[in-house]
Amino acid sequence: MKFVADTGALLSIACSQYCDLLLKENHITITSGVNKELKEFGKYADFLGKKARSILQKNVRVTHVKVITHFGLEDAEEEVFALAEQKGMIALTDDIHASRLASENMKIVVRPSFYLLGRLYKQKKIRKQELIHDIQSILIHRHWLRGALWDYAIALIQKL
Amino acid sequence: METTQFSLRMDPELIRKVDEEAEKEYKTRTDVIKEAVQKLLKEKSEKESLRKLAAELWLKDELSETKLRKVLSREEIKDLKFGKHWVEDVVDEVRG
Repeated sequence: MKFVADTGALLSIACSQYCDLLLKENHITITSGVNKELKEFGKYADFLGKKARSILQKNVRVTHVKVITHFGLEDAEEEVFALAEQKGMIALTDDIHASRLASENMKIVVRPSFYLLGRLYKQKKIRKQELIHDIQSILIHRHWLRGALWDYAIALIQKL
Repeated sequence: METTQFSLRMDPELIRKVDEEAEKEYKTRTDVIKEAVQKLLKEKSEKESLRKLAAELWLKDELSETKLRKVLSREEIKDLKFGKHWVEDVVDEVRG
């Protein structure tokens, strides 16, 4: 499976303790707009700035893409969905609003970043408790606005 | 408590109102502004907690959509509904 990640999803991946394994197991690409946003994040000395610098050092593939369908999102976000559509990739984003708009406007598959961790669990590379613990630790650092949905996701995962 | 000094530009009319409030309450201009900022941040935080709680209850089928509409906008409800199915699909895929 090939994935194209937005800035937020890639930062979530960078926050995972299985970051190197996730990058090894999955073919992840970013767009030039996302690369630019990560470099901006990397200018800051805080936790996410550090994570942005660390993921940039891992040489994630960067692809330039022309956006054809605009639906009012940030340029970098629209690039991610455009690349997903043009190359048949799965778009990774933790932005539910962006994901909904993309799903309504384009024929693409969009998944949250924790989907990759779910795949590791499915492939028996991590245990359920490790999956839950990692998602929870990412949530602390990412301060996702829709906390209720992520709590709901963890509740469903606990029943796996 | 350690404090940091910084400058703030405000329009003269607002400064006049702040000073009036300060005089009325026997406080300094700084105190009035500080209290207003603290109140705003507390209210925002409480509002966000309420929104999260409403979403959590709706996800558990313990709150009706009519009541959810009182704290979330139409677009936010659309996102939440989409998000619910989105999360369920991902978990189903992991399970499958």
